[in-house]
Amino acid sequence: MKFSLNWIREFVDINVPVDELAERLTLSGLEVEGVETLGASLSGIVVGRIESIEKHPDADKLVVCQVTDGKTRHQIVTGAQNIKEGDVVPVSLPGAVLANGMEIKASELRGVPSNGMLCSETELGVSDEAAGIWILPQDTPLGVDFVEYARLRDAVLDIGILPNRGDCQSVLGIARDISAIYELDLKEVEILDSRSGSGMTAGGSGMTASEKSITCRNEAPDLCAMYTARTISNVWQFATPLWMQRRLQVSGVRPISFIVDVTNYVLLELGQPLHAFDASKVKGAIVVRSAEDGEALVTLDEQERKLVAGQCVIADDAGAVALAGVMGGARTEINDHTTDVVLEAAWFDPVATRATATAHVLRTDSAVRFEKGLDIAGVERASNRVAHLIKSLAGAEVGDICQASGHTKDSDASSFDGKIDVDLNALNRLIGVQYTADQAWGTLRRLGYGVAVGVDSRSGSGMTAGSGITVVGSVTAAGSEIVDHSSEMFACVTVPTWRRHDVLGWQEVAEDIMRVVGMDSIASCLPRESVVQVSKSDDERVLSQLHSFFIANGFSQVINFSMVGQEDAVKCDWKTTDSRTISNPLTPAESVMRERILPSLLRVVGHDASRQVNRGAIFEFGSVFPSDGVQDTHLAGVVYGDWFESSYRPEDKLAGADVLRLKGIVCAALEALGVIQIRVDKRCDDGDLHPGQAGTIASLKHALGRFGKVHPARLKAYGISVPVSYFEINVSSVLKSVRPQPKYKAFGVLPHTRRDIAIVVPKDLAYSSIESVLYKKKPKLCKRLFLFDRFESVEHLGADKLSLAFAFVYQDDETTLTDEVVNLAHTEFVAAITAALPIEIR
Amino acid sequence: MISRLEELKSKCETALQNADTVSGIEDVRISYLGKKGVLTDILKGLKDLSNEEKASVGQAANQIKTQITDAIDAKRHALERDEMNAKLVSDTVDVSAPGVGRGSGASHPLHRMEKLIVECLGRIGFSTVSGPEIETEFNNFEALNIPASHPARDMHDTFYMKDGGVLRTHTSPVQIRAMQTMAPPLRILAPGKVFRCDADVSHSPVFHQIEGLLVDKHVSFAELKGTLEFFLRSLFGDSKKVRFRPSYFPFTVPSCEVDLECVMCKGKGCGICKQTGWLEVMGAGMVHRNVFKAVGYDPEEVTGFAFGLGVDRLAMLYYQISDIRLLYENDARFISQFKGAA
Repeated sequence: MKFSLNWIREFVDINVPVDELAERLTLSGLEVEGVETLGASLSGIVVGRIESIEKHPDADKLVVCQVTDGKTRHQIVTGAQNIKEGDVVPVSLPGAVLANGMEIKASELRGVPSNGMLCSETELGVSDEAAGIWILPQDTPLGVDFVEYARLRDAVLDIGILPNRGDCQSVLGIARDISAIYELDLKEVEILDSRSGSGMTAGGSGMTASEKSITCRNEAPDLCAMYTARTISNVWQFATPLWMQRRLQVSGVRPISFIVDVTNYVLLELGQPLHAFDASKVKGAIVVRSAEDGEALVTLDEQERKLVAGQCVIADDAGAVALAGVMGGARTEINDHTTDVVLEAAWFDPVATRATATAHVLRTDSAVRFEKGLDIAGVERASNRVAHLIKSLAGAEVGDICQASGHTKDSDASSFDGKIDVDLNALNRLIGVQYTADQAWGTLRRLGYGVAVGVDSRSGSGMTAGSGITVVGSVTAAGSEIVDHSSEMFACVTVPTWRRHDVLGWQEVAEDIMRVVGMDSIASCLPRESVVQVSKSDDERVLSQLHSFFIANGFSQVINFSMVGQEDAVKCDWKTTDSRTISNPLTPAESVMRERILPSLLRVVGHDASRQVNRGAIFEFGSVFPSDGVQDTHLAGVVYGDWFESSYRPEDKLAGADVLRLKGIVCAALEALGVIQIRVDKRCDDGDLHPGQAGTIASLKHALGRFGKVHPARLKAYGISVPVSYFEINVSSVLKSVRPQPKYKAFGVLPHTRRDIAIVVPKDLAYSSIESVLYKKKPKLCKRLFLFDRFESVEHLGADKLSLAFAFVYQDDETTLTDEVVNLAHTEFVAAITAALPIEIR
Repeated sequence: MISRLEELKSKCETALQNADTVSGIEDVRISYLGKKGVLTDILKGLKDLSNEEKASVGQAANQIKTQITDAIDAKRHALERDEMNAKLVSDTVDVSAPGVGRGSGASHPLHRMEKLIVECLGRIGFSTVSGPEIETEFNNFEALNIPASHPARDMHDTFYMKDGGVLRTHTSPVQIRAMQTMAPPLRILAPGKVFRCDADVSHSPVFHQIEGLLVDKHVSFAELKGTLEFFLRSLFGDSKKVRFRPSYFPFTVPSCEVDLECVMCKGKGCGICKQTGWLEVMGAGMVHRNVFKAVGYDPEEVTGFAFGLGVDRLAMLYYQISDIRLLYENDARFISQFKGAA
């Protein structure tokens, strides 16, 4: 929000350099996002009247003007088109300096002397563009220093207002904080003394005192805690003074017409939204009420709004005239012919106003201000301020104020009387400082708090420190000690009305003191209490090891969004459920929570492939959201293109082996973590994978995941033309399968004997089922067995058979084995497996 | 006899000189020192000699046997060395050719950044906890003192699931879960993905946060300040200026924002810091009493501080990444730049 420093200075005598002020405000919670200095170089501009305009003798496009500043006449040559005799204009005389720093000198234009220049708004730094010379109102006094008169020299602070500081959305609010920070007095604005009238009323009914008064009634006390209305008459076609226009402009508000300008001016100044109805169009009394279901209202933006019960409206005898706190109605809109207005100043419920504004998609400035919570005590003052300005500037007649109060809703703010007990010792402990009583209480008083030192909220008013009547002791939070409520370190503070929606506890009071005194002065330290680790991060250690393993094996990490597109769900045959579908996605491509990481990886492969990166290995740790289960963490990876074969040596190029290579890496990764007895099965019946090159991975007790070649149909769907091998494992199942730290067992040191065996097996018999029989039948003496050859030959074995060669290692821990013992064990073993499997010994 | 031995020795030396292979040497050894070798015969015949002769001839024979043995060994070693050298010459590999293997992969910069942060704060006792990305409105908002009507909900453009769940807008709900299940004292970090329903050139709808929480008796704002100064200076350098500005968050009071001296221009003012010389990098504050109440902690008994930061933004500053979209495109040419230990 933009604030004029000149305007702020009407409330507080702040004279520090603007950059210094900006920094101090920023460090006090009013973040100055920019400072614009206006007219800093301007000087020597006066107001003059054009007495005559004559043609230039030698130039068609120039004219020669005689201009008076009230005392002296000056001849000025200009090329301006928009001037006429009698116009009052800003004039820069020789020696004057324009906004861009240019100094005006007496000169000759085509032989005619010119002693100055008529100025446009651009030359005076008021606007970026101007159609011509700035024509001033006729009553602008001649000869005055125009820079001072029109307040052209200013600094505009652009301040980011925090959501809880609705009170700072006004010049007054900013000035108040400045007064607290710099320990300066805060001045009052001039207002009309409404108490001089007799129209004051409270409660649900209104009264009129004069003929042109308006009455108002509050039938929605829950929605509107305070409603005021008054009539202001005879304001027809009064021009807004230049200085006021100027202030509106620098604050980012366009001047429109006098009444609107004054209400906007007071809005900016005091933060209270105001609304003016054309009095001649208001029928009868004003009523604040809840809308009826289906009631219609055409708002100022010419939209017809269908209202529902619970939305607060302002109505007259003929129906709704405004959507309370949000926008006025078209029927009672003021225009150029308006002479009398009804001025509304009110306090509408923040929650209800927000709901109404949201329902109608009308987040107006007014609605946003009501939402943030306004100062209910400032409502009448704002009305009186408008009344004062209109009366003093335009001589209008101001009617008595009619007031109809309601009550604030049952919320923290309303049940709260604004009184908070503050134990300064506890406060100092919370912040870690040693604020003195003077420092703390003084700061609060400047912020508008009432501070009763040595008093608590229960002991009523009037008790002073050291009175000796009562000493209330209690055990407090941070202190666990008796607090002497009569000490100067204890006070009952009364939160100012404009902060009651925000300051609800002593911690907020602490924040207020801290931000004004400054956070710089707090001496920092590391946490003092002993260090406690809340969780053993075994998981973290294991995950980090898994991460390092894949990095070391050449895989690069990717991080994708947790959501994919509806399209991906279709491509991957997922059923999407409500609990996994975003109701307000930004784009269809990010609308469903992923069930597996696979589509995210295929997207990356597709992305890389389209950028000529045709091989690689990537992995991702991330969340997955099974449609029928809880959110889980998976680790998935893909190897794509000829990444495995990317060697330049012919002997390393082993095409087609990539699924088993990937399996080798995944199993090694699991083994490295301490997952024992990894089981891989051939079955894997889902459409993601090649039906003949896919498997499941499990530990002894848990299914861990799957791997295989990605199904060509999936690759096609993602526009991928290189082969992709993939694995995806459930990290929590892996963590559950990690065995505890290994324990040493003695190993045999006596010589071992190896016996090899080659068997012919049907091709469709899974290796894993052969292996499991081998392990089952294995005699105790056989310590180890492994596959060392695999051989296919249509010629020798037939198309449906293959040969596997195993080595069996026999060893006894106690004695050196003799051939006889080994032969006996081996023969029995071979017989057992031949009986158990459809195989032949070669 | 002695002269026979001398003759034998010189014959053997000649034979050795003529032998130019290891097997040739072996032949020489066998013919002189083997079971039926010439010298062996002589030594066998010693027993037939007189005692006097036995002593003198025996000594000479043994001496010659030693000399021959040494000569054979020396010659054999020389030949073996020559043979090995010859083999090595023919058996070379140009080791300057590319190694066979796939090299190292790279860690995503967000992961690296997160790791640096977690490790840094781990040094002063913070450990990590995690939680789900789809949260309840209670954990994401209500428990954090953000009721439905609170204007602060405007600060969070929330993705809702069709069944009413929310994609967490910050990792603070992880802290709620931690406090609901663990008694104080607590010193935790909650890293993870968060989701906001707005995206433009500088915002991604998904980004990463790390939030920290310390709860104990008598925790002060001064300790929060010290912790964050330690953290930022550990990461960006001891000489970096850090400043604290009052701010507002519904779940902390007092609240502050933390600015770091611009890492690009060192505080002089540049495009990255919008000419201010400062970068806003963290939000923090003392945990709000209503948050403690929501999780069943007694705000009269404990105080605490919380802080949060955007990992993406910090990573962009740390690694000088110019466009946030690079972080989620996962382009191989981008990721591959981040090799090595984080």
